[in-house]
Amino acid sequence: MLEALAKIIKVLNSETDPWQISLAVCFGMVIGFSPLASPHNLLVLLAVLLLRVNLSTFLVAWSFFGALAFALDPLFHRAGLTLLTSKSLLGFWTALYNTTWFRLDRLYNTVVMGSLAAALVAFFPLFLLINWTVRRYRIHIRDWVGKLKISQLVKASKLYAAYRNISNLGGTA
Amino acid sequence: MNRLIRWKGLAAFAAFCLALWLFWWLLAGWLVKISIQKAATAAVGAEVDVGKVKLSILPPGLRIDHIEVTDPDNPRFNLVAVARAEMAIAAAPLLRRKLIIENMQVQGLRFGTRRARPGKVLEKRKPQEPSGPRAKPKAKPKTIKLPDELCFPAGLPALSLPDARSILEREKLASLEEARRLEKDLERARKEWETRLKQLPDEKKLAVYRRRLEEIRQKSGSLAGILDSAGKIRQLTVSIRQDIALLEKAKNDFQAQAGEFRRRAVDLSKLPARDLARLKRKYSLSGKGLSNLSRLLFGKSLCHWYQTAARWYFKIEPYLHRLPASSDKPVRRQPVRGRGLDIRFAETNPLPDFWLQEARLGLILKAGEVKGSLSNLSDSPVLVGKPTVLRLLGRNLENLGSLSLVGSLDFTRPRAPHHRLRSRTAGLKISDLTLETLDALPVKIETGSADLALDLEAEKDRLTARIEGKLTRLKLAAGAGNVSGLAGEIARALEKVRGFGFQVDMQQRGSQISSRVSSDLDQVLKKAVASSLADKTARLERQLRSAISEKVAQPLANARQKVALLGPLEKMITRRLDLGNDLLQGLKLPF
Repeated sequence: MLEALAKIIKVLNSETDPWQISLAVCFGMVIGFSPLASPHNLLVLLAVLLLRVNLSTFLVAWSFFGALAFALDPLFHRAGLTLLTSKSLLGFWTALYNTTWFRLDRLYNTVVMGSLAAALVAFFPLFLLINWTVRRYRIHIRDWVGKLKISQLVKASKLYAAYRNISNLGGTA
Repeated sequence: MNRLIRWKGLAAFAAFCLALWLFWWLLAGWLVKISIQKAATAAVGAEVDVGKVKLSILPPGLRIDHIEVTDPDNPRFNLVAVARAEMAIAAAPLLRRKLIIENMQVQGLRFGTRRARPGKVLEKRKPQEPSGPRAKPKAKPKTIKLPDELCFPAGLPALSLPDARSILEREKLASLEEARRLEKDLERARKEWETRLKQLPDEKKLAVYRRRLEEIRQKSGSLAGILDSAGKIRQLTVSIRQDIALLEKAKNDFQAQAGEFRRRAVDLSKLPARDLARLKRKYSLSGKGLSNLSRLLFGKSLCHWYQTAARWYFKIEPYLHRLPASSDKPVRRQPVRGRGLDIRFAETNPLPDFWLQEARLGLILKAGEVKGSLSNLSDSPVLVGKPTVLRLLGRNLENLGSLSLVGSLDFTRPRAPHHRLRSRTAGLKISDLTLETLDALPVKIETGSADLALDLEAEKDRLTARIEGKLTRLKLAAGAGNVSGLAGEIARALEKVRGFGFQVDMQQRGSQISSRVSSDLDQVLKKAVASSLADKTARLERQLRSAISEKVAQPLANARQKVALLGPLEKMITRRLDLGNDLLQGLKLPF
C-alpha cells in the first residue's frame, strides 16, 4: 500500500505527461475489469508496452481495478446479459459469434462482455477526467502535498529509499 | 513519433510472449492432467488417475498415459483402465473452443483391473428434505422390476408334490364359496317372502269376499234389491281384481327369483369339477408345466446376467439423455457463480462442442486382445448427423473362437432415438461352470462349447432383446448324485444331454419387463419324466377329488335343501290366486 502510494506521488510529481498517466489508468481499468485469461488483454498489454504510458501507474491501476472487479462482477453480468440478449442486437451478435476472435475471447459470456463493455464505455471519459485532474493537481496541490508530513515520512522511509534506488537503476518510464 | 512510441516495448512484449510459451511448454501437460483428473472424478463420482499428459501444438495433439477410473461400487477395482490414449485435434475449431478429435488411438483398454490402492469415492451429496406446501415430493430411485417368472421361478412343484389336504388348506374353493353364498341368499329370500306373503290377500280375506257375495245374492229378490245388488257386486269385483293382480305380480316375482336360484344350484353342482381341474393344473406335473423346465433351471442365471446388464445401463443412462438439443435461438446456459453466463447463438457452420470422429481401440480381455473402433461420439449428434458406432472384433482368443460386436447409439433424431447392439460369440469353451439353478437340483457344466448371439434394440421407452445360444460337446453334472424321485430322473436325463439350444426374448416398456425362455432341452426333459409324471398326476387327481368332495358335500346339500323349500311357498301363492280366480268367475249380475 505504502509502495503504491509512493509510486503515485512520485509519478504525479514527476514531469511525466498527463496523457501517459491517464492512458495507464485507462488500460489498467480494461485489463483489471476483464477476466485475466481473456485474450484481448494481450492486445492491451502490447499497447501498454508500445505506447509510452506510465508503467508504474498502469500496474497500480490494474491492481486497483482488478480488486474492484470482484465487487462489480454481478453488475458486469447484468450488463452483459442485457447486451447479449437484446433483440435488436441479435443479428449483430450472431454475426460476431461466427467469428473466431469472438469465440476465442469468450465474448459470448455475460461477465466478459459486460466488463469489457463497461471498460470501453468508461475509457474516454476517464482518460479526460484523469488528464484534467493531473493538470489541476500539478498547478494547485503538488507543492502543498510535498509539504505534508505523510509525504515527508514516506520519502524518509527506508522502503522508499530502497524503491528509489531500484527505480533509478531501471530508469524512468 | 518517439514521444508516443516506446520501441523497446515491442521487445518486452515478445519476451512476455516467450515466457508464456515457456510456461505452457513446461506446465501445460501438468495443468491438463489436473483438469482431466478433476473433471473426470466429478463425472464418475470416484477417483480418476492420470499418469502423464503430453501436449503438442503443431499439429495439435494430446497423449495421455495410464488412465485409471475407480469403480464407485468397488473401489479396489478399476471400472476401466487405459494404457495409452493418443489423439490428433483439429486446430481451427479449437480456436472456437470446439474439441474435434480427428482420430484417436486407445491402447491397452481393460475392464475390472485391480488397483494398487483403493480409489477414493466421492461422498454423494444428500438431497435436502423438502418442506413447505410447495416442496416437491422426492423422486423415486429408478429401478427395473424384473419379471417374477424369470428371477423367482415358482420353485419346482414338479419335483416335490404337496398332498391334497395341504393344498386345500391354502387354496380357496369356488364351489364351497358359492354353496355358502347360495345358502345365505336363499335364507334371506325365504324371510323376505314370508313377510311379503303376510301382506298379500290370504284365504281368510278371500272367504270374506265369498260371504259378502252370498249375502248380496240373498237380498236381490225385489227390483229395488236387484238394483242395489248390482252396485255392490261391481264394487266387490273391483276389490277382488285388485287382490288378484297383487297375487299375480307376487307369483311372477317369485318364479323369476326361484328360477335364478335353481340355475345357481345347477351351476353349483358343476363347480367341484372345475375346482379339481384348476388345482390339478396348478399343482400337478403336467406336460405344460414341464415344458418350461429349462427356464426353471437356468432362469436364475439369466436373471443375474440381466441385473448386471441393467446396472451398467443405469450407469451410462444419465450420459445418454443429457445431450443438448440444437436450436437457432440464443440458448442460455446455467451460470457458474462469479463466472457469468454463456449465451449461445446460431452458427453458420455449426459444429458440436465435442466430437470424437474416429477412435481405434485395443481392448485387453482375459481371453486376449480385441480390436475395435468407435466413431462419431459427440455431445450434439444432431449436428453430426451420424450415430455413434462401436465395433469390436476378436479372433483366435483363448477359450473363444471369435467375438464380434456392433453397437450404435442414434440420437440424430432426438425425439426418436434408436439404438442397436448385435453381438456374436463363437466357440466359447466352458468348463466347471456352476449354473445358478434351483437348490433342489444343482447343475454344473463340466465341459462344453457355446455359440451365442445377442440382438438388442431400444427405441424411446421400449427395449427388446433376443439371446440365442447353442451349446455343444456338453458334459453336465446334475443333482450332485444325491437327489431322488422326479428330480433324480431329471438329473439323469440332464447328464445324458450332449447339446441343446435356447432362446431368450425380453421386452421392456417403461419399468415393466416381460420375458420368454424356450429351449429344446424342454423336450428332452419332458420325455425323460413322462411315465413318472403320469402316475403322480393321477394320484394327485384322485386325492384332490376325494378331498374336495368331502369338503363341499355338506354345504352343497344345505343349499339344495333350501332350494327345495321354495316349492311350498310357490304352492301357497298359486292356491290363493286360484281361489281369487274362482271367486271372480262366480261373480254374475242377478239379471
